[in-house]
Amino acid sequence: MAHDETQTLSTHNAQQSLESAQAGLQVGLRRGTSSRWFSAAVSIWAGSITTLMGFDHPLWFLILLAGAIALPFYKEHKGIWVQEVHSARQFWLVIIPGALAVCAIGFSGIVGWHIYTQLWAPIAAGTLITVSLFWAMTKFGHSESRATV
Amino acid sequence: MSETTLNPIIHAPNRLQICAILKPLEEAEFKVLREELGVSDSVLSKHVSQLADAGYAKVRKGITASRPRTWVKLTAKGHRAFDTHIAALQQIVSRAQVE
Repeated sequence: MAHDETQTLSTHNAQQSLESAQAGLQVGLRRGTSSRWFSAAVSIWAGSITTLMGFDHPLWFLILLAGAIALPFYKEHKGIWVQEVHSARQFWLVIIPGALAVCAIGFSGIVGWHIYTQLWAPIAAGTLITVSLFWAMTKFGHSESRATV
Repeated sequence: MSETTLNPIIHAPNRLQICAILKPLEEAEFKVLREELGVSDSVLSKHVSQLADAGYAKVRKGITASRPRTWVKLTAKGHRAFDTHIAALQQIVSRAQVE
């Protein structure tokens, strides 16, 4: 490879490049950060599906479908999409247990209503998922602690 | 001899910025990159093409609301190249601090 100026980069220029990269990283995260409205919409969407599934109401499928259709439009409108899963470790330690927890909560709502005829069970399950998901998305979603080079 | 070497393709200021912006993202629209870099379409297109030719970026064209859109993402190779380049920069800086 021919000699190029990158191989004789000064400390000052290297520092400037690092700062520039850091700024770019911040831009990516800032533009990609979901608004609270989006977090609330996703949380309510997930919670309402859980409650309706608990009651075995067919509307849950329409809501699921509506969300699945709306999400790509939202992404296209926003012009940016953050990488949600950053590593295999994150996938296995956060995403999978989180998904299992959501399934367990939803299942408990179904069992509570269909077997024990507890009306509050699916409502509680849906509410718990709504609140938990909103909290997780606003607290951990795209935090600046990840914006380091 | 340093363990990591600077990448001349990524090192150019605009391309470094493009890679840094795309690093945490799944993909970003061309318009977003243009706005953040403050460059013209042709300049951005040239830099994105250079990254794509090196295998560091992937370009996807689509249509939204009857308007053509172009999306850019970093490939796995691009992620690795960016990380290596950043590590090389950090090595230069840390070596100077030790001295």
